[in-house]
Amino acid sequence: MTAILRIILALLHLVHTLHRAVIKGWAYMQTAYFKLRHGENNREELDVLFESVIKMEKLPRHLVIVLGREEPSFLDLIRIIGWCVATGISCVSFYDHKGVIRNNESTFWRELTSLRPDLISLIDWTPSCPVKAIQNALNGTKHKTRVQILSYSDGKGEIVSLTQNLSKAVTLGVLKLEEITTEFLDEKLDLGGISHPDVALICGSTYSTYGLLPWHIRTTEFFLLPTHHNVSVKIFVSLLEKFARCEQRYGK
Amino acid sequence: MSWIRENTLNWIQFLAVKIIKSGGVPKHVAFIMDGNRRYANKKRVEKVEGHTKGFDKLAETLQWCLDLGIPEVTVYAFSIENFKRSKKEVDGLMELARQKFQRVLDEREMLMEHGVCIRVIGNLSLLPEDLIQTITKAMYITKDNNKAYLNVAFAYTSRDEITHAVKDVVEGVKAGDILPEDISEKLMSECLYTNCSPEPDLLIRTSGEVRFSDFLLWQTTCSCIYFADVLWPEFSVWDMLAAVFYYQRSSSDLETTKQEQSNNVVKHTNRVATYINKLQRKRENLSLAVVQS
Repeated sequence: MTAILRIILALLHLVHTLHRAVIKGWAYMQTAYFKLRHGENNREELDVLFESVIKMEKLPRHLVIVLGREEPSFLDLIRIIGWCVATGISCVSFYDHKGVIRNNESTFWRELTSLRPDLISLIDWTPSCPVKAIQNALNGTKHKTRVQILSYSDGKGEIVSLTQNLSKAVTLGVLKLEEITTEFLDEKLDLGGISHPDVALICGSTYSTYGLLPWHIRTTEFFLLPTHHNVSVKIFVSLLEKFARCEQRYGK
Repeated sequence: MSWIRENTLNWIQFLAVKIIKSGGVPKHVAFIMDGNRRYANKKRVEKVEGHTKGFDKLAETLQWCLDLGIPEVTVYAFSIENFKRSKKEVDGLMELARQKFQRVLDEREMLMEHGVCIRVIGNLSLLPEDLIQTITKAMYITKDNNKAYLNVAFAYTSRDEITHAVKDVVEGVKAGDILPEDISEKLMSECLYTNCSPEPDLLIRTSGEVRFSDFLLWQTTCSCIYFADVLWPEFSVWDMLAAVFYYQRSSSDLETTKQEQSNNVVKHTNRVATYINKLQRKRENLSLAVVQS
């Protein structure tokens, strides 16, 4: 009996896998068709972007791409940076829990300078610089899009090291235990002056935060991005549209 | 309506449960039961009626979880942020909680027979005195049950929980029980309200919203998330099965991620283990004092 049930379940999973594959194939063909018609032209992409963005009620201030189990494709991440700059999203972060991007930040930067030198003056990105150290550089650069690389240690790791520092401060008597409140921690855990993520796009088909900034994501809207490899501007725009329709109630 | 319900599945649903159950099922499922008020609006009834329907749905869902072989469930019943709602609604919710936790005491035998352990996680000090009493008693009488676990997040937010853990740890250092370098991810996890539970494998949020609203942010870093586009009182066994099916599809990805993250976890020293024991005893004594008062 159990064997029969297992076979049925396996079949169901197989059917689902096939269904996903068809959807993926269809999306791939659409992207290819779009490219065929418009060529690899930034202009065309930007037209699509502007046409939709102008109708949206709101845009995220801070967008995070969560790589999940995908290997980074710098070329596509750079395209996303380009779209964020063009729409005026003030911060875009790339999160991978394994820290692959962080370890290759200089390669990422080199690729950016050679592929899109036009973006350099429009973004604010200090490679290989811990999140906090950029804080001072923020003044007077409001019009620029911040680019930020995040990994697992920026989440729980930051909370742990903050707790270590606070414990030393309390032991030394420079801080009172009662002064530690949620607001106090929020202030200490600020992401170098930028707002908390409004939207996170998780690459792949597995919905999970992969450990993204536990303190900062209570109001973040999460969406799945089937893959960032060869991502089409249409999919990107459709996710921004979904975000624009979300309404926050803040407990009320 | 009581906490434990008779089985309501028809034969085809029963068969579907059997099929899904033949694969891997999560050990711990968390729910954000969202959409009670929108349900009430839709049906043109009072908000509190929506919340009552929501509780009935909880009892039904717990039965499905037991049928599926899921031993632990955590539900988000009331957020600290919800105190901002109208007085009428907050009072109504407190009254509902009073009735339902009193019911735990009244149905004590049935819960003991099913071996259900009920824990309430949250900042209980924000609640009315009599409700704290009832809740603490309900936790106390069921604390040794071990067949099924139900954690109710009440007057809870994840940030509040993390803040309390930070304070407990800082206090431990100040008292000389532990050293600053002993502070680790694992120690923090064990100082949270959820220290007795494994991390949830699956988190389900209803009503189509796609955010966490300050629920178990620390604990869900490797969890599979399932957003169901249905109001909580309308959540059906098919939605539940779809969520578990999705979990089965994601579990290998999540398992790999879990292993990658566990590289960050260090083993506790004796000093840390002693401190955690001390902290837990302190918390138990506090609740014992409430029960006895």
